[in-house]
Amino acid sequence: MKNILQIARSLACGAALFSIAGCGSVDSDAPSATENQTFYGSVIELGGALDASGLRAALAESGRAQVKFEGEVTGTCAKKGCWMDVASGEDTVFVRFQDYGFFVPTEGAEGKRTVMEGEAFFDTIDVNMLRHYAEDAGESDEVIAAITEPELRMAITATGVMIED
Amino acid sequence: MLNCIQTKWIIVALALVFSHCGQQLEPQAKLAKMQPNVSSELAVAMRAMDGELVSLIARHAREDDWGGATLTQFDLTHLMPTDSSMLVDGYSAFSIAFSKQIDAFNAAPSADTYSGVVSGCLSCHMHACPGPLARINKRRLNEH
Repeated sequence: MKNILQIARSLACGAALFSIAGCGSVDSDAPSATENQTFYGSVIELGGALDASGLRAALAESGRAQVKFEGEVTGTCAKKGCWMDVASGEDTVFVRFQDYGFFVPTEGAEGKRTVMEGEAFFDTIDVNMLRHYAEDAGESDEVIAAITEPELRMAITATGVMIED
Repeated sequence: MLNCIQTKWIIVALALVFSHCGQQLEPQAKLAKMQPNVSSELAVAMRAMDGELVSLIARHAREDDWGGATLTQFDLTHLMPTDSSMLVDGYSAFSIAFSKQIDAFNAAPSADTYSGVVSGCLSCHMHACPGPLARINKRRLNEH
């Protein structure tokens, strides 16, 4: 009986040390995520993401804000994956990636939930750029030719993006 | 039979073991490659050139001496682009002009000839593929 008590005590102490060591190894560089989430650019914390109305509110004061934003991917650059459109409510936010330093998949992301972190701002996109992005998106010549006015959009330059399968 | 104290110790031990197992089973975040799509020859060359500019800027920040610095001369007119639409009117002329900027830098590396190279990048990208303009602007010497 005394032996059983000693074994149990040893097991408890060992497990406690093992747990403490294990806690130390769960570092901030490799946060947990669900298996259907893929991160691009950097791994970001997903909590506290705004929807489009929250984004509008965040931009109301100075026109620029560091934010987390959540929505649904409605399109990505079909050529390089260098931008994506993200819808939330009635708004679609145009997302590019910090310093052209990382890209997202050119296909297969449409309809998926996404969360990103970065700098949000209002952006006037001129006709040439709109036509360039339309061409990237694989639009027809007719659609591209019909673009004749610049467009004001909410935009984000993201430092990290999560796309959920 | 186990007495009360023994039972408590075993419960504590098992609780600790299982709580730790729970941590291990939590999946880690999956970070994709920076370039998850196929890269064209031209895109690969552009990234290599950008890497060289970054190295030169870092060197320039440490020492104001350009002696011996070189940049790789890529034949941009023969590298396959991501898409034909990137070969805009004037692309060949931009490529030839850029090649001359690289030659000028390699012959006499200096802040001036370096700036000529960066201007060559900007001139072409304003016409052909404006996505990287913000990145290229960060290669200008007055940005550092």
